[in-house]
Amino acid sequence: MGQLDGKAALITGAASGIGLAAAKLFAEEGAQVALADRNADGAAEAAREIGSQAMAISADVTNEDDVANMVSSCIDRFGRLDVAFNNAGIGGFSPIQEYPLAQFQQVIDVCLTGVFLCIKHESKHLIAQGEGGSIINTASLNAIQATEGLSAYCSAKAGVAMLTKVSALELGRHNIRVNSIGPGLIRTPLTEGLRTAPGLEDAFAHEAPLGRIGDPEEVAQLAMWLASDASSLMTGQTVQLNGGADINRYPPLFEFFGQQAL
Amino acid sequence: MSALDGKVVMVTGAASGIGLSTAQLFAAEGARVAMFDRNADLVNETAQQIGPSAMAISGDVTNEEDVATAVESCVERFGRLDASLNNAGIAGGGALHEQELETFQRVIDVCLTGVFLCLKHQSKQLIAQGEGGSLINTASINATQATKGLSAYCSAKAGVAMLTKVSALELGEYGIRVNAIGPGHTKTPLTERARDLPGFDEAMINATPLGRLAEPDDIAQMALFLASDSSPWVSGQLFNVDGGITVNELPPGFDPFAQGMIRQQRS
Repeated sequence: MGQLDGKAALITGAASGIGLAAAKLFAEEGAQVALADRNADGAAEAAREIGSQAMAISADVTNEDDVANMVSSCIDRFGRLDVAFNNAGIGGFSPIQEYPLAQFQQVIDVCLTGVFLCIKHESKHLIAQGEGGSIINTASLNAIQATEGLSAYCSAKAGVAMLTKVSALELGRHNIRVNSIGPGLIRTPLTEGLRTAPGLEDAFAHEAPLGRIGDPEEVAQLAMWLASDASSLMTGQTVQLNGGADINRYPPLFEFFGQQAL
Repeated sequence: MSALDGKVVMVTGAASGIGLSTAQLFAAEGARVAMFDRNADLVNETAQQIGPSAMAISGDVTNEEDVATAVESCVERFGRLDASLNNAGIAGGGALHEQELETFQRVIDVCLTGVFLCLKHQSKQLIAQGEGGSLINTASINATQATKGLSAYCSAKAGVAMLTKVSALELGEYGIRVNAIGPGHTKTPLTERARDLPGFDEAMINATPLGRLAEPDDIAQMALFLASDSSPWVSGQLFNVDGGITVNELPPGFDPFAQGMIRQQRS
């Protein structure tokens, strides 16, 4: 028996990276999965690969009509909605004193307002269904950890972590749980640009107690747990998933002193 | 000698509430103050009341030209910029699943993107001057505390707290400090509607260890500390100024003494 048997799940940003890994895992665990992405071809191909329990939806999360249609297409096809993984996101990099307004706004629109639109329309359906549900948002390590050059991305992701709390507060009495995942550096198309910088991947791995960066499949496992009934008391939380990178706030003293008592 | 002698400060949302109170306090402490607000008449009037150390600039923080021009006008008039309180904000809410996209976006635009635009143009000026500076943003206790019906406002303010950290990280090498203040429920025009609800103020007062509502000047005093040279090693932080309400984890109005959970109140 799969952990998501009988559930219908909607995933945004599902054509690649974390979204795609989650779609595959959710399907393996018995869910019917709607794969939404701006990249219509990518979503269609991924859905075909997964098989008949998957459908593809072309949608831009910043467009409210698209988001409303995305949720209703999922329900038209699967008859219901139980789980949503609001994962679509983009990056953006610039010093704050040079950051072009249009680019700042685009990051906020996709990463924060897009998640708002998804939660809005998903929760409407979940409330109408009256059987609760689980909404999962992709935040980031940058929801709690500032990074140079990422003023828009960090602010948007901190916003997502807070939006997760407000939603959990508002939707709790409908038995709708809302949680976020805060991935660290994961091998996805979004981080490809970053990872091409020589030494950056090693520097990141060095910060993490587990000594490596993550794979999308590892994030998908947490999404699956949050989607399943195993996490039935969990709501309003942002779970950091980064090999322990967020607990490291100090120079590595062992490298200076060795491990003997000082 | 006063705490802000010789300093030039830009304050947004300066025509009323926390912004006005801060402009008045900063002027009293020796600063020259550029007061920026959407409400042209009111900001002119309040700047006139403060006197020649204040100037009024009308504009909208969501408009990049307005913000860039405001920084320029401030520097033209006073010769420099040392500090700012990026304080303009609006409220707006409703149940998340009924909330209009426009309302959500407007709150994000003013409260978050507006602060970004101010930081961007102020930091350019401070970097060019080469003498550091202190940038202060008005966040809210809602940067860390969720409230039903305030999805946009809470998300925007959490964003401001994070934007404060990123800015502090990026601008530290120029000697520019960036901090945020998280006011609780304060007697300002922004909270007037909430304060008109029967019982609302009482519930807030009950939940607040200091047992009263905040006056705008309570918040301005923190802004003064952060703008002055008294806080030279403070950067990237969010300071809740809320009479202690955020340490109260119990539901508002919940009284363990009255409800018999604790038998005896210590005298």
